[in-house]
Amino acid sequence: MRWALWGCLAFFMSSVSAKTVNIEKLTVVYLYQLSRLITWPADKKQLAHFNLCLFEDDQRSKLLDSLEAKTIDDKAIKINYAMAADNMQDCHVLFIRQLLNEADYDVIRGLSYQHHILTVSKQIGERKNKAVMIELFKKKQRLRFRVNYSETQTALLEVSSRLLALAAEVRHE
Amino acid sequence: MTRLFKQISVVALGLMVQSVEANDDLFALEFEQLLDLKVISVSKKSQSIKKTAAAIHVITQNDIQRSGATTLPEVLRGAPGVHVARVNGSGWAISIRGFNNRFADKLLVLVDGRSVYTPMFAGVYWSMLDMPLSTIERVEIVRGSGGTLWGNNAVNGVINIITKHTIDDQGTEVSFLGGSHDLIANILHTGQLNEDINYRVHSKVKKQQKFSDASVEQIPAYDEWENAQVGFRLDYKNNWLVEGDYVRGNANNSILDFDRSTLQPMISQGNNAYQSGNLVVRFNYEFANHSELQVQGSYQYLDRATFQGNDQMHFFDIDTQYQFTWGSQQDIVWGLGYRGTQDNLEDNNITTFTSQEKYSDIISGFIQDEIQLSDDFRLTIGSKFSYNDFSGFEYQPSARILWELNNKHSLWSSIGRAVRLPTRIDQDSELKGLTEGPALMPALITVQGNPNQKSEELISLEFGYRGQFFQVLDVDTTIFYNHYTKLRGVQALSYAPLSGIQATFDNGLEADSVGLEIASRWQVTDTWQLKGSYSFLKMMMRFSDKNTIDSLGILDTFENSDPQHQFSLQSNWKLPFDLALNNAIYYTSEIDEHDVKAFTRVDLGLTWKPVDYFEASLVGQNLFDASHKEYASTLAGTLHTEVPRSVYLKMTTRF
Repeated sequence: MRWALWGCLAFFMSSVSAKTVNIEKLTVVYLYQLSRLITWPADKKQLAHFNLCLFEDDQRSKLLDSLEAKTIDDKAIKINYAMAADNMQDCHVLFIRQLLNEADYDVIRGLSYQHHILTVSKQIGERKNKAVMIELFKKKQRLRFRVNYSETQTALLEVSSRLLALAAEVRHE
Repeated sequence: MTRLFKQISVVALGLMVQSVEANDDLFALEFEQLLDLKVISVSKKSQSIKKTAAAIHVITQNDIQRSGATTLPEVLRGAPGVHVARVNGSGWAISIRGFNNRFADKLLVLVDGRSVYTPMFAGVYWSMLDMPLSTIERVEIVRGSGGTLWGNNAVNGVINIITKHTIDDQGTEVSFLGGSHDLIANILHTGQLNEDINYRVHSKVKKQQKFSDASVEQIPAYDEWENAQVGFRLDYKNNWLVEGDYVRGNANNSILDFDRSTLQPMISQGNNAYQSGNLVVRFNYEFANHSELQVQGSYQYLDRATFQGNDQMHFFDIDTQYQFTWGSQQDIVWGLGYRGTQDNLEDNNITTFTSQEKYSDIISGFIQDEIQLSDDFRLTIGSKFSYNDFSGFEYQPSARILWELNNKHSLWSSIGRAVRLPTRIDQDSELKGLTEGPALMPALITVQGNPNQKSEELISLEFGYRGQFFQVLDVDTTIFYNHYTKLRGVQALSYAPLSGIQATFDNGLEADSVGLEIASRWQVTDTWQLKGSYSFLKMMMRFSDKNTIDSLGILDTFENSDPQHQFSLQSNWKLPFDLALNNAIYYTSEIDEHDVKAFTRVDLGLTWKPVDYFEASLVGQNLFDASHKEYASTLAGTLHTEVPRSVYLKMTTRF
């Protein structure tokens, strides 16, 4: 057709190597890498899957779902959305994408101790969830994380020294 | 219009399935290397859809791919509360919650916050929005009055098309589609100029064969369509966005005309050529206290050279908004906006204008406060204020409340006022047509624009429920009651055998409508998903003056121009051997006024994706029917064709 020329754009422009990434993508990669540097107690090792859970959160994410093609400690990762307090005993990691209220916070804290669940959250604006074990945050256009070491100890989770070394901050509260 | 980004991107992500894939390259990096990567936050504050006090439906990129749609209007088919009727090869009548026709005027359509409605008739030229569908991140459909945040045309709803950020899906995509009616080529390339600047360039070229003849009316099809679009998007960090498109096309068209001397109807056929371009610049800045300023400016022009006459329009928009939190419980956003329109509308056989050129503008401001009353209740109140050249001062307040029963169930309600501004057609035109005169003889009718035409007004009341059952079944239900006043009507003034019927526009109509909309998604198994929707609409029209005699049959024209029932069911099934089967059934009940019979459309698509860089799809549309009529109004001379059965093969490669 007569506008065929319009389709002939110069699409093969040179580009430099990518050093900027979507924070949502990087967050998912962090979740995976963080989980590989944690050791869970023996009862968690008996589970068939490595369970990555989202607390009361039904926003399906293809990025998160892509983790199901990977393994941790030879176990296939399973993404569990919208987990509530009464069914999260098998979770290895609880990823919290929303701000919690006080009641939820208390429940999650108790369950994380009881069932050895690593709680991970990301900072939302200037607000943050109190005393999660690992908090992701953005600083100077980079994704950083802080570790609440006391909380991980109480939940009987063993954090590798490499992870602690990479953290922007390690708290002992 | 850019405030939409704050509100909808905040509210409508709940059911969104992100379209971007995790980049395996990132998994290969050491943790230390990950810490060095710069990041961009593409989406703003996200919030589950169930926390939203509005009737919202989101169509994601995945939904678009599975639908088999090749045009933007067809993507909207099956959304609750939305009526999509194909008029002919290049024309659609699309509306939300009633009043549908080729020139539907109570719906606001935005592309990345840029309004694409034309003030000539307050509607949308859908054929000019034939963008490559793979550039779309999602389409958000907000049903109900949206005047508070979005503006003067968001009477019954807003459709916002949001394109992908250029940080996502980097690489090149080439696709070719060939079938019984369509030939389409798409090329798009997304890349990175340096660490901070990402870009995308795209093009889409299509050629479409004519549809089927309108068999009952014996109207031969003459609606071939050619369209080409090129465009770009540039993102600098997350602060600047610059994007633009240029589109041009040719669409054959038939209209119902008449011989001026014998008053005998006749069909005129000809070619409509059009071109349109736009440029958008947006700036975002987040302050240290996390308040945020956004400024967006845009220019667009539109040039139509039809076989009946020409028109050109230029639009200038600038919108600012500032969002901040006040205390711990309130989130406030306010803004100012300006829109200027310069048009040049040429007279034709049917329409003449008292002034061919006109510059009109709209100045507006709005404020909205979202208040967290308690853990379970959230109240949103606000109003928009504007001044325009057509109707003067307008206000559009709304109040919404959300009650989160628990983490899986929520109730919401809203009340709002919205207006549809008068248009150039309403105030400055003279329309000529043929109608039935005394003794059932054909008579010339001349409808004179009314300089005192006022805005149409709506008071809407909505109640909604959202729930999740067994973690795999989502249900979203809305009931609404709309009360319209000052609707545009036509008042007959006099009749004489030679000059025919003299009439004028007025605001003499009122209407009430009630409706029910249900949308549901069921994840049956890990590999099979069902999505369904049902919409019910009942419209009741009347004259404001109860003594008015409906000599022109106006009430029927508006009251019965929409289907009362619509139903859709879509099945997406991931099969072994890298196959996926996507089926859809759409049912639309009869439309009395247009003599459109109830029809059921069945689409079937099979996709094979053996490797990441190649995909092939075989799609059949309207399979159970040789052709069917979806629209038949002759408003402003429109003639329809019938939607035929079609099949196409599409091949896509990405690298």
